[in-house]
Amino acid sequence: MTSAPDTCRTIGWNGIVLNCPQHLEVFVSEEKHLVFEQDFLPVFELRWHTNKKNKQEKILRNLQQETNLLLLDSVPPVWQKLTSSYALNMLAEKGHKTYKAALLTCKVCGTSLLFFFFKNPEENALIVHKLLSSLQCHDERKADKLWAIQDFRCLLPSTFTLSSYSFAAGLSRLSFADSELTMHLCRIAPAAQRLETASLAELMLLLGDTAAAEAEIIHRDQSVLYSRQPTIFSQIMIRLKRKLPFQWMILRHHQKEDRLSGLFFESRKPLPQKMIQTILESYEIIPL
Amino acid sequence: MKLFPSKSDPTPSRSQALQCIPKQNDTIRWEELDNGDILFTYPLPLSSFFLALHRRFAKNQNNVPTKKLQLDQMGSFVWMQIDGEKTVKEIILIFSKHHNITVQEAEHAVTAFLKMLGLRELIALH
Repeated sequence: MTSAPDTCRTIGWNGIVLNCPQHLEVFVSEEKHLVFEQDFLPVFELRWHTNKKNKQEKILRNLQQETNLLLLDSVPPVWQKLTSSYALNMLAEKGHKTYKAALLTCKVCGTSLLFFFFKNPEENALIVHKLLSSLQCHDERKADKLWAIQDFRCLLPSTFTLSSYSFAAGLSRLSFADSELTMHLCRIAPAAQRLETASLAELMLLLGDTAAAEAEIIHRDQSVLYSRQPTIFSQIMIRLKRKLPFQWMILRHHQKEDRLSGLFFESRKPLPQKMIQTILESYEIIPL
Repeated sequence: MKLFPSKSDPTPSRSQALQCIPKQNDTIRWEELDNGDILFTYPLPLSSFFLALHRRFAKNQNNVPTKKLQLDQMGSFVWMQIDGEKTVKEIILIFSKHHNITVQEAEHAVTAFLKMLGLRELIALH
């Protein structure tokens, strides 16, 4: 692994934001588990959880039992500046002085983060420094949460919780829930090949799992939009089919990046148009 | 020595699988169509009983029953990369670059596709 300086990109996933060197591939392993790889080999992983009830001592004890790692007395210089914001514990393998894992507990939000290094982290001091200097587990302003993974990014209200996700070949999908509102975010690559077999409108209806007449679809430059605001009677009929009556969906074609990005909202109640517009404006494709 | 020694796991690890070199099955007939897609024609793996039935009742008894499989554009691209020299890892990187997708997505797509080809005995991994 090289520790040569290179550009960074921001990763935002389920409450965690950090800057990661461009040459590392980030894999979402679980809802709160990211694996950072280089050349198909894991470099380190990050796990976290926000349960305030679990005390750091208990986590540490469990961790030591499961991994046979031992607690180190000293904190390496790169990590020392984190001690003002986090309660920090470094762990090493028996007979080794170099740390293998680091357990951090945020003094503000109580989030526990575990960094586990598959390779000697001291060889990659620069990467570790970049990660740590940008690490965020909470936003004191309670602003929107950043979701940035692969080649897309989006800002969502902090009340949105991730309900499911999938990263299939060419189709990434994240689903969120916020009280009665459901939102699906998708990103398709490469767009050109998908558009060879189906139009943008057809793809949107397919992804949105809805049927609409061509006249109901609004065609804009490089995007298609569909909105359903049914009457009371129609709402009852749709609800009888066990579907949510209010829908708003858009599928955009990013020609330059060769991507399709889609946002799909569903609810039992009329949809908050202002919030949808804010989310739509923040949803962007980042060139690879 | 164990009385019942545990069987060794034949499944290779991810890094071992990525280092493997896929090789096309020489006995499989395939052709490149005008649109660039690959069309396979391969014999159906029938048991001797069904083969005997086929020989008895088929019009042309010398012809072995075959099956056809047409790959899409992406599948055809991967098939053309299988030259007996490139490793799975190299194919993933080429695929990712050619289709402008992330390495993670390319790995999903290529490995699933190679697995499908392997199950149909169209390729072998070395």
